[in-house]
Amino acid sequence: MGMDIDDELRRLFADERLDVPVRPGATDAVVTGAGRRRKRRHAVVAAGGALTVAVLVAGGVVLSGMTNSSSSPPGQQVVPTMSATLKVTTTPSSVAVPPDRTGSNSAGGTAGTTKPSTSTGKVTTSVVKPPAVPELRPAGFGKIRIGMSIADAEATGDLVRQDNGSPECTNYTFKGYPEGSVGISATDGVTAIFPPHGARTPEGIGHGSTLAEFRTAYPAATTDQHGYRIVRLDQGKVYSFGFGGGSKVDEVVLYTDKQMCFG
Amino acid sequence: MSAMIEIIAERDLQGENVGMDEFADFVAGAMPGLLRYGHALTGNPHDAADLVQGVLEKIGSRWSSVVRKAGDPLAYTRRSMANAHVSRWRRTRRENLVAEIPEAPADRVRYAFEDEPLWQALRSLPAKQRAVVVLRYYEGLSEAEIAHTLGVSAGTVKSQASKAMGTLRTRLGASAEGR
Repeated sequence: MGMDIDDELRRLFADERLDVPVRPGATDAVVTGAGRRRKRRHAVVAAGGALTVAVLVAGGVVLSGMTNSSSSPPGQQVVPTMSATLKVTTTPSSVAVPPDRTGSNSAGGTAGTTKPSTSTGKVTTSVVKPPAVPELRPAGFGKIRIGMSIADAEATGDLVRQDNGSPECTNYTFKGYPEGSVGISATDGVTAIFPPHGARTPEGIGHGSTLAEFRTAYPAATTDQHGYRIVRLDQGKVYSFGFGGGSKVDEVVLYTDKQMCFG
Repeated sequence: MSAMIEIIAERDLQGENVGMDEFADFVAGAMPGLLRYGHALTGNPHDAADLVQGVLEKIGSRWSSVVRKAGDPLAYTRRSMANAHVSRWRRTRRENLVAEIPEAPADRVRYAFEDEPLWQALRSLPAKQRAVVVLRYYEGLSEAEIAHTLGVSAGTVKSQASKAMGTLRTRLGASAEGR
């Protein structure tokens, strides 16, 4: 066939059907989100001290704009999304209790129920930890192990398949931990695990760990081309920690060098 | 002129908020193109919305320094998107606030695009290979520019591009014969 693939690609990328309609209010949503990120960063900087316990609690549950009941394009399943992005900063005198917007979503069940704040003592603690999260170990996370086949991984009942991904990397989230995800290859099995935020390595490092804590735990870590800190494990596996330009871990991954999920 | 003075006074008063107004203008203008670009990069409108929102929020939260250091915020945003998508495939599905994704699959004209063999072939590529193709044919970047954008060597770009093109040819050939 004499098809010129270069031309075909240019034609495809010029196709107007590639347009995605902008949602009304999109700009406001982005500006608000940006402001929230900035405030969060400032709050973290201001709090600063070692006494500050920044605990990530699943509390602010935000529902997707796309309701789960809506139909989606063929082959795409809209996943009920729940993003728990809430920081509770414990300070000696007061505790900000996030508005509990539950009732909005029950999927996953990670949103810890917020206890009514009992103000018996001086310090009101309303921080509720979600159920204990398993450790992220070189072998894997919970029942999900690196190298496990798709069938075995699905059989654990811990995963929810996502619509996106590629043949080399089918994407799953954890039932109960929608913020985590797992990439599984048809040939190499589980190749990448993004554990949920509460997970820690046996050395105690996870989301929210400081650079100093990280360095103490992993003095031999290296930095890859994308700026991620890499801790080499056995059999081609690594822990990768991202700091997102800040001073605290905001991404944790266990993956093998066979992964085709990301660069 | 008095309007100008007012604006300046306003600027002094509001400080960072004025920057956010500029950012809002930027977002409003750039959004359609970024969503389209995100669609090409990720292969579906949901992930496009997600990618655009995440990257723009990050950029907005550091808007003044982005403007100061990056010069062209649009180019910077597009690079960030390519990078964010390649360096980590979808991590967390977040609330989609930016794109109006048609709810009814009955919109056949639009979603016939999903049936384009080349589009399907492209979607099946690993994220990095797809990004190389998009940067080359959508963005029109050179190999060196792609390497710079993705933080990889020119050799990697070359090998990823050749793998990608090989796969696309094979798949298209197969689907053409299957007709």
